[in-house]
Amino acid sequence: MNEPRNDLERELTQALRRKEPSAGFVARVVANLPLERPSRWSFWMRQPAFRWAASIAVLVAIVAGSIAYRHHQQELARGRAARQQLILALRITGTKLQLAQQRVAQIGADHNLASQQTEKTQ
Amino acid sequence: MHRPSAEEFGRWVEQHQSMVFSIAYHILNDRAAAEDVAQEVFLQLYDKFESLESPEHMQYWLRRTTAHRAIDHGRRNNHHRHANIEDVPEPSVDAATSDPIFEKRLRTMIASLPESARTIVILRYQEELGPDEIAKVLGMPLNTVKSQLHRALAILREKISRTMGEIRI
Repeated sequence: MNEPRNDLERELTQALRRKEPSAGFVARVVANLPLERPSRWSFWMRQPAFRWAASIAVLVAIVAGSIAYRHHQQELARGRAARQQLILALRITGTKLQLAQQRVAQIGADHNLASQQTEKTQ
Repeated sequence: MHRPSAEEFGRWVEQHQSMVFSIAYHILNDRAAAEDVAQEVFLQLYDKFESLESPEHMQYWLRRTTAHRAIDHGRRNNHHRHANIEDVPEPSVDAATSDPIFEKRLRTMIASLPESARTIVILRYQEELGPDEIAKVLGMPLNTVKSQLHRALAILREKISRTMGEIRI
């Protein structure tokens, strides 16, 4: 509102101009600021016993974690070895079955040959 | 805005103290009460600091909060004075010039306005806000602000002319 002002508006602007509070107002406000309360976490972190306990807990967690990891790796290795053994066993079985099949086929062929010779002699 | 240290906050208070104190003072017409309100507003500002986006937002928040707090304080402590214009002593000098007595008299007349009209007049002539800005600060419709401002000026003119006669207004 930049309209030209009349006398009343000028008087109002003059009467309502800004005023300063009493001296020391800023200091009084600052003095009443709430003190920075340390958080519950920072209170505990300053306790030596808590710090020791926290360090031990971290150490235990690291050791337990590495043991669990090693155990898991061993389980995996065992699983891999068992798989290899199974594959080997299946291969051996397969080979033996193949041999037996060949043998049976051979016996069958010999038998047929013997039968044909018998028929010829008769 | 990040939470300031006490020293930084002191600088913010210094920068805005006259605005905050004056809004409260002109609404309450009582220095001690205005200082109490101003202090409460600044302590609330400290708590709210991180939620404010910019110095402009802070200024807007301060005007709004101070106006509302001063009105609440006035209601609680019955500072709202419906001063009778006949009770105001006659000025001893010509009121046509801006003199302290006339100013005091005018402030008493302003203090006698209904609280929302008084707050609008203070934001208009102390803070030099336009009606749209006043509407935003007080959360009122623009037309309400305009009509209350118009009405407040008419009341003040009438009060002045009743006490001083048709001099210059």
